[in-house]
Amino acid sequence: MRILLVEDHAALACEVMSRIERAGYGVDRVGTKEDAVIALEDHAYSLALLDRRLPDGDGISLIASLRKKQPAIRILMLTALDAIDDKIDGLEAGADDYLTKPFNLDEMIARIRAHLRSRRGQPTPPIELGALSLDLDERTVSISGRPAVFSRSELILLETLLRRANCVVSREALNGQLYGNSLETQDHALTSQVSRLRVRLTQSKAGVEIHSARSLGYIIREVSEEEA
Amino acid sequence: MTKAPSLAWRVTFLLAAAQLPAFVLAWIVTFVLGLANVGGFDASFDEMASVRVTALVNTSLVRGDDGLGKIVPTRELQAEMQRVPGLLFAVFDPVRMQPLAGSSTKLVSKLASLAEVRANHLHFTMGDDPWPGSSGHLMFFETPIGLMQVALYGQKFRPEDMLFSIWNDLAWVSTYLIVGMLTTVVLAWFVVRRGLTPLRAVAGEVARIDMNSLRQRLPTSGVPIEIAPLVEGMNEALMRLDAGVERQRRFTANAAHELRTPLAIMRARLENAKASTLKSELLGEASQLRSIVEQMLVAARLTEGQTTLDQRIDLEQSVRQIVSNFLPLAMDCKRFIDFDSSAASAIIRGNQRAIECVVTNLIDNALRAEPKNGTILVRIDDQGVIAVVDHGEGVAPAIREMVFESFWRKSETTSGTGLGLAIAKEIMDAHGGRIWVEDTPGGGATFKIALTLSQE
Repeated sequence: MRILLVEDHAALACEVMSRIERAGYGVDRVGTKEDAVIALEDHAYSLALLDRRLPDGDGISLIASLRKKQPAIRILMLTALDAIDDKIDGLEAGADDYLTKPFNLDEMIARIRAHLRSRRGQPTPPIELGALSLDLDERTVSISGRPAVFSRSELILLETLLRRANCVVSREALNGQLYGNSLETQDHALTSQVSRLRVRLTQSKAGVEIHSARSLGYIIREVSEEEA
Repeated sequence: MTKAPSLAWRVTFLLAAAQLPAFVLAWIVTFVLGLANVGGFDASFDEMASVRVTALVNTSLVRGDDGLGKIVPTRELQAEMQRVPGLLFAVFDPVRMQPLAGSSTKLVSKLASLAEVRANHLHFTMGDDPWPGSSGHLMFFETPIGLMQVALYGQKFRPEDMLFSIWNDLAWVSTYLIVGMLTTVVLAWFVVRRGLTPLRAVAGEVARIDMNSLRQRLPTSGVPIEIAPLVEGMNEALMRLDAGVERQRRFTANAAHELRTPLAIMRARLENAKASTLKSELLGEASQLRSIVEQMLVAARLTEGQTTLDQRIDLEQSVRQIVSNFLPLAMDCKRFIDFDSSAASAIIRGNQRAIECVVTNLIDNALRAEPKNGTILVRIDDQGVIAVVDHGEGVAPAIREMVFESFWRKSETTSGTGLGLAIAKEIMDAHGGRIWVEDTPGGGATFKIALTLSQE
């Protein structure tokens, strides 16, 4: 799975690329719309991160040609929202999602993961956090390289949390993944599921911890050295 | 500023006082015209002497043992008679219609019949004297022995007669003069006050001008042309100020805008760095820098009127999102954020970015104030009041107002920590909302903002 980053600020692009690479995705970076069009001729991309302010124009105008050349591509706009242009919504122009600059890199990875669901023939990079590694294609978990067995619901919880590692996952999202959106809220059940998962992760020394944030949801993070 | 005395008072006083010299001047002009016999005026130097000499005659009147009045010239009258050999005087008793003893026989023979008709006031000449003339004089006077008709002829001018004469004439017209003065006082006071009314209106407008209303101009309608240059000058000054402030704001906005990219790079680099205390701390600082820069940008845009204040904002959702975004950073810094919402829905109208900036700033501040391993609380109630509660040192009551001191008025001596709060207040003011700080029970500060919920 390759990602195209269209961003003219070299230093910022460099940091974004290094974070994307750490998450296991290949990434090419171009600095102009013109170069972006050339890159599209040469490679197939699963997702494009598109800056709006480019030296040769607004990134929004690239959306149409991106879609034309590679219809399956997912487009994530990077908008340095200003109070002036915050009415112009990248979504209206056909983007799949947008991130407001300056964005959190963990949030960016979470969004990328959300848009790059597994597709045939294209391996999804595993999510790694602490000693934990989750293979999204095989739905298997390993801890410090050794396979670990989790129940189906534990796996769903873990995947949902890990996809947004270091970011808050709302209770609604977790409920939705576990029980489907149609059911009544299962708050109590969710709480006990999470505590069971928490215990298992601690026991198996996964090096991650699930924190609960009252009325916001949960957040999975690496156990910091001080705490460990 | 030393104030000059009231203009109305000065004008009124001067106009009233001017009546006196005007009278003297008019008197002199009349006299000169009279000397020249122009336009019916008639005067002579010798006639002026009549006031003084009549007074000499009057003081010489005494009542004899027989009860009849008679003229017994005083020493002064005798001196005058010696100085002026041709001086004639006669006094008639209007009751008895007879001349008093000591009267000039020549005058008596000429005027006796006029005394009988009790002529009120008469100017005359005799013999070869030029005519028409006014040297001779017959008139009623209140004398020491009662009302008498006193006649005078041939008196001669002495320089002091000028004063006696002018004083006498002044007494004659004093009623006109006093009434004229009073009328002037009343009219001048009224006209000046009236004329200055538009100036007071302008002053009222000027008093309302501040950094955010420099675009307005002072009203020039109804302003007297004497004052118009001042008002126009002020309007031109306002225009220049407005342009200057506009440049300043554009600079702020541009500077803030330029700062975003290096800040974004710095943050991204930090996020990619290996976990460490330094990294967490720097991330915290970067977050604070970022929120100030964003606030400056938003505040500049708002004051420029470049942005809408009419977006529909779901406060509950916005605040929830902000807290969610902040939580990882807070945890990196060994703090935690609790979110508590009792608002089913809190919809307001405003500028989403601006409101988010304010909340972000408050959370930033709270995280810095909160002791390590502490938990700040962000709460939104069903009235749309957002509270950000920390357990730090709190804000001393004495400086509670100062921390929100206006962004544009802030002096350089006030501590820099308040800049975010000052901008927050600007933004809240623009939204017709409030921002204030309270004590957290048990210690710490609770910052609150209140916005008017829209009725949907």
